[in-house]
Amino acid sequence: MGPTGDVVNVIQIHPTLRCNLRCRHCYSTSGPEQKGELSVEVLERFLADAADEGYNAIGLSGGEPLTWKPLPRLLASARALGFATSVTSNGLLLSASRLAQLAPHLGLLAISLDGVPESHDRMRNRAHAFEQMRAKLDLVRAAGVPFGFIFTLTLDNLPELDWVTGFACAEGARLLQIHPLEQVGRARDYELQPPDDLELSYGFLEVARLQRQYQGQLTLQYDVADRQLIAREPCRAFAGPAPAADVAGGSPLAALVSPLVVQEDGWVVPVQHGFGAGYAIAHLDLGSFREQAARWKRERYPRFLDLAGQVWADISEAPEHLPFTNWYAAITTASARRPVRPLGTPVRLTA
Amino acid sequence: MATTRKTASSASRGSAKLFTLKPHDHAGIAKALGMARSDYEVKWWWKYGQPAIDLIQAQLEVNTKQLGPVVSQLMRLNGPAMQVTAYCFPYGIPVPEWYRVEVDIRNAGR
Repeated sequence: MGPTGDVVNVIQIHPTLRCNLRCRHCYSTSGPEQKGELSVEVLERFLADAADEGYNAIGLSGGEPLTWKPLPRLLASARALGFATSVTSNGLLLSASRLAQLAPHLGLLAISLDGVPESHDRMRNRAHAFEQMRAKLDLVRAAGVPFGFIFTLTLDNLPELDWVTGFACAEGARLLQIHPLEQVGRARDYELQPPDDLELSYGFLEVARLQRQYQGQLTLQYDVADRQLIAREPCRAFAGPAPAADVAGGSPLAALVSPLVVQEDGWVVPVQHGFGAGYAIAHLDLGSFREQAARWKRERYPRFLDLAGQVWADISEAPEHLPFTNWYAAITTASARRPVRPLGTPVRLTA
Repeated sequence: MATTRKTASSASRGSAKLFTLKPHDHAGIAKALGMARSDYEVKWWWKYGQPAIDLIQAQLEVNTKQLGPVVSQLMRLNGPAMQVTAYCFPYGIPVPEWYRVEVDIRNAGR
């Protein structure tokens, strides 16, 4: 169990940080200068082990996943193993031929949309980025790929959500995901301001209003942690009582931790990109994922639960008008502040 | 956490341009949230760059040997909050060697 529930056990894969853009809010500081990438063979072996550990969905992001040539092959391999698949993209590199390669294996294409066209272009650090992305949507529809948009909520852009929702609906999107900005990576360099808990409350009111307005046409997903929900179900924030060691050791990893993140440097970490290396579950170059996962359950899982419990204790108390918070940011920050010894030093990945 | 509790001036808030409900009206905000909760609920929350997995349509091509495990894996997604429908179409009749599996996964809570 975790924040994404106990049904969908998801792995987010960053095969490369290479990107055609250099967005101001990029948490992974991706850009054209990034060269390294993970090998598809290594990822295929990992996914076979991960399926045995109970994971059933993957999401490819980056970097821009469309710059990673083996993307269609990995999606096809994942599908053959029974994984649901999604790709998050800025949309600019889409083409009819690329979509034809992806469409048979892709469950959902999520395209980043940062506000009205001027705001989108500014956040993307690229003139005409919005119009270029919009021009690709005809290709996406023609390929029959279900698609949605991801909107990054900052301290000051809530008024643009109304326009974004109307645009998403008019373009035929099935999903609009609203995620709070996190002040890491390039967002920290540009001093972009994330929404505080008060702005998250206002955001909830606006999302609820828009969901009512677009009911049956578009699904809005607001990615904030609800303290009332966690208080009722602490296991959603990994804050419930720890299972006995033999129970944890005998459980598939997906029953203990989801989401899982495969970073571009080969580390497999819990919850979020940039999570403290001391809590890492495995490294793709350090042998069998299954064996590393078994060791993590014995040696690191109790420390992970301890960390999650401390984070929940820190954030659980809040006034009634501030029920929402960005739990992912809180636990990732805490994981860096409470380091534990890393697993080992990996050999260099393919470049 | 300190990062989520810091305050901002109302002038820099996007919400200041949208709502007449003032930031210092804590009771009013709490009441509005209570009413909004009847329309909308955050049942789970996803990390940045990871779209919610609740609107998946897929076509899988699997061989006869893989069909059982793949369908089992998909059916494990089923639950009170998720509805999974899978249709299997055999290729190679009279002896099917491959199956096309059409899957529709929907979040039943919305």
